[in-house]
Amino acid sequence: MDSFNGDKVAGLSPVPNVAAEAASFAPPSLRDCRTESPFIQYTLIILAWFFFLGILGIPILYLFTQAFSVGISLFFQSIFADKDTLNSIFLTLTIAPLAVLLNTVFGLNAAWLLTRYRFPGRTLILTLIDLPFAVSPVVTGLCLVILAGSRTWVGYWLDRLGIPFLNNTPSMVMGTMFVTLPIIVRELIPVLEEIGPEQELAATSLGANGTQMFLRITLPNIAIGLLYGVLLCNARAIGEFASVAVVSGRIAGATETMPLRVERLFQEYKSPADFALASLLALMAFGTLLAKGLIENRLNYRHHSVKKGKMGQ
Amino acid sequence: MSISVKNVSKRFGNFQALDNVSIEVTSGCLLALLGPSGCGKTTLLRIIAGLEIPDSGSVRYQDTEVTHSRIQDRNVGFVFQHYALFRHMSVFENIGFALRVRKWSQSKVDQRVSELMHLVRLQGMEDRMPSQLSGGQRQRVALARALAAEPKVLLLDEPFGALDAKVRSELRAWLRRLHEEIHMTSVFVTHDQEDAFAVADKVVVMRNGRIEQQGKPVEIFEHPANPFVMDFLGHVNVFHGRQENDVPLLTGFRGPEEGEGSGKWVYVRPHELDLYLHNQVDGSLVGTIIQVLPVGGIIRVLLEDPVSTARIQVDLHHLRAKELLLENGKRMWVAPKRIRTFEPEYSI
Repeated sequence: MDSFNGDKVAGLSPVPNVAAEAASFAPPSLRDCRTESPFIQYTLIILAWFFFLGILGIPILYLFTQAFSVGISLFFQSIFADKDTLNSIFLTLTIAPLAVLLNTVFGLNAAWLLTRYRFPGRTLILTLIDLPFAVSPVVTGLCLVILAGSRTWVGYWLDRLGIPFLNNTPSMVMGTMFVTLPIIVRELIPVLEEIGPEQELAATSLGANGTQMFLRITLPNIAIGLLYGVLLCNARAIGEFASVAVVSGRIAGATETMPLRVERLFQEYKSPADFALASLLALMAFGTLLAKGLIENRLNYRHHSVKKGKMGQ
Repeated sequence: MSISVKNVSKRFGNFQALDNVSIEVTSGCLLALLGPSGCGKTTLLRIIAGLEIPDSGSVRYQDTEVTHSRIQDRNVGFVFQHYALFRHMSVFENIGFALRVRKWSQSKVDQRVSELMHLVRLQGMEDRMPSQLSGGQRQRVALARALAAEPKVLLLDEPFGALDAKVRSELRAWLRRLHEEIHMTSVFVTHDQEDAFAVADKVVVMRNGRIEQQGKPVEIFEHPANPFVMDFLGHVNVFHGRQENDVPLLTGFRGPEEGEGSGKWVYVRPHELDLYLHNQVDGSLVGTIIQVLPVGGIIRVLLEDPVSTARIQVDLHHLRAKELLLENGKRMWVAPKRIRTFEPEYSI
């Protein structure tokens, strides 16, 4: 292993810390591994940077400069002094975790069922599970409004039982769930396929019951994939706009989530409050990405150390 | 504890995996289910274990009917084909798993696992992860894990399948010794006749979901019930012929009278043929040597019948081969020391 780190891989130190491991995956030098002409190389690189900066980098950077242009104190004041804005943060922090939790339960169930059993309609479910990615969230919202409207039996029973649904948190959670439904399942299916049913069968043959099998064998094996899915789902749930906008009725201070609040502040020319809240949303997304990155790093490191062990044999 | 399988059938869609199969495994016996892939041997093992439920028939452990009870209630040790070790657990935790789910105390788990580590000769490897073990070591961990909760029956699915030849023969010998030590009723599945013959007390040869023959290894090897079993257990020379006055007659080749069977085709194992420099034995066949190969302790001679161009394989002791001064192109007379005859079978 030392000889690998020792040779001239971009002159990295052979200290086996996480950062060094990750860095050593980068291509050592362009000239070593590319045969294209320099013109094509640089055109491609410039194009990549252009899209990255033009579409992602500069707008987000501009958002932050706008938000902080009035100073830190005003930035915080514009967020925390407004009762409706505070309420929207609270609502988002309620709805997103709820939707993620429910989707985790559903995702685990569905992924396990779809990988471990063959049943009628399995292929259909596998195909349709991606539907929320394909359908516009506005359509999702409208579906829920129509379904739970006062003229349907669903709406009738919701009304009879006194369950507040439309223009209230339950429908917003459902709208968010619908849109983020496939994320966790999609993360888990390949992982479950990869580990196969043998370890689970082995656990059963050794006397483990269903719960013991799940907690001691399945869960540790899929933990990283599950966490990854949960984070992605969470990022998507925090930012969900269209479906929530339709079902919530957009009552300020009551059913407004952060994205809805940002849009209202913007419509009402309340700058820099809109930029401030938007940058807070963006920061939440960055936090998620950071967590994802850390997990990935740990995962790479673990794979790497396993390989090391093998080579040591 | 004995195992008794009665009239078991199992179908997967249009595929008849098992067709009315019955076997008896006496207590303390080590039985091998032998057959080519797709013969139903693994399905039978999984039914004995409780990983599959048969369509009809019954499985009994001693006097207990277990056909429909689940694997976790049967207390069997099952060793999976690719071992299915828990990748995220150390060797210690793998072996101790059955005890942990039974809520044994830490000290008892420690004691039992160290006993097992000793039994499978893996002392000092408690903290290794499965990915840091060789194939043979993984196999032994899988075995120790299966034995941890003191099962009444040990079932092994292709236990030597994924190992290279040397490790394979070592583990065979070791498994046999282990069986002598613990004397647990065991069933294992293999497609390799050497595995079956080197390890088992009793061999069941299967094909197409049916049992072709069962018995002690020597019995089956010496008295195969049909051409399939004869062919499956090792190379065999087949001479197509007809009978004359109750004596099987080949292309000028007459077998000695102590032959077995009453069919038209004559089956002779390579080691049951001998070569002569002259036509000493009545009805010998003439052949031209085309290849002489030293294989282990024997000399393998390939001859060609100049009339039919059929190939004949003869295995000779190396002393006998030296005596004959074998070389390519030399004409020799081939005569059997022993033959078996079967009716022709076309469905192999």
